[in-house]
Amino acid sequence: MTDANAAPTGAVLDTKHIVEALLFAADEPLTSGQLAGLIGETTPAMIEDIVRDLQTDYALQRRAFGIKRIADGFQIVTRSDYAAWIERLRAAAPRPRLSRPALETLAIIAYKQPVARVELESIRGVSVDAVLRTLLERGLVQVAGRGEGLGRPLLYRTTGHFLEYFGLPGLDALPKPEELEVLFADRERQEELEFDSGDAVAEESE
Amino acid sequence: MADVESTGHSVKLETLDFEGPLDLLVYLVKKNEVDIYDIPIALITEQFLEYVEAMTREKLESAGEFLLMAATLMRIKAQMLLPQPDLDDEELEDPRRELVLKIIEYQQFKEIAEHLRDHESSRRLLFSRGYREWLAEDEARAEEEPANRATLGDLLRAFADVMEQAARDRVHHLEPLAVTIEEKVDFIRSRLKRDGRSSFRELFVVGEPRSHWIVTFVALLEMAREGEIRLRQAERFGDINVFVGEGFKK
Repeated sequence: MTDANAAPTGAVLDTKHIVEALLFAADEPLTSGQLAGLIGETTPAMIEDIVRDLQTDYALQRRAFGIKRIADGFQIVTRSDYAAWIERLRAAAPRPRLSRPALETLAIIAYKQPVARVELESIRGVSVDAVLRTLLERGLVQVAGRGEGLGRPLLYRTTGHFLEYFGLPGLDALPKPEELEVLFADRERQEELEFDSGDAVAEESE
Repeated sequence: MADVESTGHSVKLETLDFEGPLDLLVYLVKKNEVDIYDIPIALITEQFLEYVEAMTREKLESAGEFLLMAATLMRIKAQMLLPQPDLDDEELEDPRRELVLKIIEYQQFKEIAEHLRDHESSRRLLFSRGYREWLAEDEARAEEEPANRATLGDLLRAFADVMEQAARDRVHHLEPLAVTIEEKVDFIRSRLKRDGRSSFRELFVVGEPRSHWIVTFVALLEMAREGEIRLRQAERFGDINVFVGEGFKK
């Protein structure tokens, strides 16, 4: 499958190397669909296989970078071991992390979206006005329309930037409710209470 | 912001910072190691009120939500004391039920928030092509909002945190003031010239005597007044960040 004659520089012009070149040059994650579209005559499933192949290559060759699945796409990123040196290259203080209220609010939105402000406030027990504004302005959440209830409240959902910010391949990469360690022991009792306020985090399956 | 989990049990309740009444309740349930499904409502109510009383003296602005919860707790406590009309009735709802469900649900989201924090931490160690632009955009978004301007109150609170840390961490040195405001201004300028920004905390050099920190703080106030720096806070009670301002002198 190599086509060495066509490449004066000695490069190999098979699909695997084209995928590698595209991922190398792109400055944002590329989905398998995008890659298949750019290359032609391949399917997203084939791209997925090729990416896995490349990932194995990099791991075996102990490269300083790898291909990470972020926000539904693939991106070449350096391995975390080299972060300290790249921080030097960048010569800037690390950016601020999100505050605890912001993370809690995002967590609720991620599981309950689309969700109205009143529900966020009911779960957190505090006003989320300022936090929500910050999350909107940082592009981590967006308005997803209006709800049916009284006053047709605005509904919010997480954005693609949310996935990129946390390096998540998709929302399903977040822990499932049953994977959460329930700090309050005695799960049977919990079932007795017919935990029913919110299916996303409340389901009991053990 | 005080990290409740790592602060331990020995710390006085009123020195802790809670995100809200539910956060405080989760803390009390864990601290007392009580069964969430059989909360000793009298004990928890008492401790909750203790905290609210201490808190309302300082930060009235968020007291409303705590007082509302206090009222709920007292109502439940009163209901528990009432004689149950028919103890065999399985359908009879425990007055604590609704509250317990809320506490559990909140606790679960707190846990998910911690997962997100882990993802945030590992993501920060990965770099891709275009990461500079990506970060610059993200930072620009984070600092644009005028609402993020740190007030004098925010600064004093942050400084009090820093000093409190110093008091906990180190033995006291008694020594003359060996540093001038000008020197500290120069130090802050050099930091900002190098990085373009800094966190408030990082400007207080670990290991320096507290007197130096006071000078650093005064230097920051001076520079803010002169427009040399801009102070931004993404969240109420969050970390304060220092940015180069219009009047920055190289």
